Amino acid sequence: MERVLKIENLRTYFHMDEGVARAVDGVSLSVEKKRTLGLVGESGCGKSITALSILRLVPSPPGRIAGGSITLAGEDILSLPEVRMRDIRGKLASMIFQEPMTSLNPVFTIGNQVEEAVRMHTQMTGKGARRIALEYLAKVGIPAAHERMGQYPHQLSGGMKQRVMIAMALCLKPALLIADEPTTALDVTIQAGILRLMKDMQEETESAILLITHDLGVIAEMADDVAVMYAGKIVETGPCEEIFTSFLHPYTEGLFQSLPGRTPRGQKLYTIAGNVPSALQFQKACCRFNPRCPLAIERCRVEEPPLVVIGPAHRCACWVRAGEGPL
Amino acid sequence: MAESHLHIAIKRIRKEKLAVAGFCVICLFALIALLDTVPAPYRDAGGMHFNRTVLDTLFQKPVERSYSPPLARTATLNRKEFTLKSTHVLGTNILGEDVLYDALKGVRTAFIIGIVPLIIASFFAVVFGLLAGYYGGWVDDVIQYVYQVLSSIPGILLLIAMLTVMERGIWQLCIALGVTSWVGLCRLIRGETLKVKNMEYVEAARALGASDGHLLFRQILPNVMYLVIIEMTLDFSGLVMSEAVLTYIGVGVEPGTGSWGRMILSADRELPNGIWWNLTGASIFLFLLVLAFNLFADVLRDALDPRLRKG
Repeated sequence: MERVLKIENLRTYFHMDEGVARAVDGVSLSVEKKRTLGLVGESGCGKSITALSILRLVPSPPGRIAGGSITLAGEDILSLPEVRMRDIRGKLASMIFQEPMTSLNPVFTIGNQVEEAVRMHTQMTGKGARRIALEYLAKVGIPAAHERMGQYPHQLSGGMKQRVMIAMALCLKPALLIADEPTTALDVTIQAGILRLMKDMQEETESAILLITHDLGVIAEMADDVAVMYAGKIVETGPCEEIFTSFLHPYTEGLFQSLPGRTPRGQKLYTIAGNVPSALQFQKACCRFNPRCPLAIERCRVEEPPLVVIGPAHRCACWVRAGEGPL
Repeated sequence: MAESHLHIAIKRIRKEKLAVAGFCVICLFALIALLDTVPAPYRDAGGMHFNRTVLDTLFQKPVERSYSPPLARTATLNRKEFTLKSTHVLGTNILGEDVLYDALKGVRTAFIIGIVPLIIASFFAVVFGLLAGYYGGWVDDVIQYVYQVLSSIPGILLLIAMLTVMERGIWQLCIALGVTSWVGLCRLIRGETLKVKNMEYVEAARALGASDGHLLFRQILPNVMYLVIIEMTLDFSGLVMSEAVLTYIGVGVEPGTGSWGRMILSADRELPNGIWWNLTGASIFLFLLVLAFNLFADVLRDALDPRLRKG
């Protein structure tokens, strides 16, 4: 299988007045062609920063990619000059954001904006760009696309806007699509439609998708593989089905238990005690989940667990559940 | 359905009767200014001359020997009554010049003073404001330093200094007014750029591979442009009126250029003699233009502001 994205030991730090925030601290993951990797975790665990790092969009200063490597379709992203990077964004890898309501420029028509996305990377003239824009707007299910092209973002619903964003992101058939919580801001009824659309479009463009979400329902529907992230690190990763049926890490377990459907009616919903620590307070040399972990032992407080191989593609970092190596 | 900005804006403005009236008045004034720009060649004993405009040939009246009230047939000089050479709708001033003609000559000056400095000031404000807001860091520091120094010098002093260095004339006045009045707008644009550059659509455009230039001028500029329009509509009236003030302190347009300011100022010699029509004529013209502009601008602003636009 063709590997589109490979991240190894990525570390993205923010140098603040209060100290260094290690928002992403040693993340490794890879996505293959036509496959979808779901990146799950609570707010503030570093999911979005990982995504921004791939496109080198981390605001700098204060942000800085401190180490590791990112290989996207054979290109070593971290060593490219900025000019080359602009070619890659939108053409090799593009991104859909969480807020469709504000992701389109309010003063231009949607047709104009999709055309602009096409024209930014091709030598295409107005007419050619227009044709592609129209084609993709129709493909993402905008009814009466021809008339809609002349409309402004405020004339479209949230779901429609997200469809336009998808058209903009995919009109040049990028190898990788990064979707940062693409359905979080949408109604549940519309969510399903958008997710299906992303799957259909993936068939067509053969893109790999890196799907960032905190919604395990979305993961179940979309992802082939899952990576669970906590406090800047991957704690468990594996094929979607395996993670859903035989998760190991106590944090993954906590996430599943927190799903409303798991708790009998009338009882209080389960929550993982405490919060994700601020990135400034991530400690070194321990399991970062230990203060919230019900299973924590002494070793969790003094030594960091490695990501050990559990199954063919299943890896987990936990002293209690995974230990030092294969069982 | 698919309608351009302009279409929607025009539709909106047409609904407002006062704005339409204002627009008509502005058009009338603009026509006068235009007539005062187009030369009307004429031939006399000395050959061809090009220094008269169409307006001159239409409205210029012979200078009388004394002042006369509106529509008077006769006037008095040294207690002797005499017949005027022609009828003066708004009378003649203390020097015997036709007030209507003077007022009409002031229209072109008013338009130039109201518009040209705004274009100059907007250019500076947009370029510096965008750069300062977008790049931040030392670029921002330098630009802020420049405009803080500029704004700490009393504007009128700076104007007088500039006009003293340059030759006196309407275009020099425009440059001086433009260069001294961009600071306020620049601050606004810088602030708005700081806000807009963090909007998701800018981030989204960057994620699609947009360059800095594209982000600045295609994504951010259109979203701060409403500030320029608002500033222009607010400042136009002020600039037209500032011409009067500058004329008063002796740094206005050169003599020989039409000027409502000079007409109003001659009131200090005229009012004691009961000559009210010169002051009134100039004031009515000034008032009409400013009012018409404000009525129109108010609606135009709303119509063009994308953030106020509704489906």
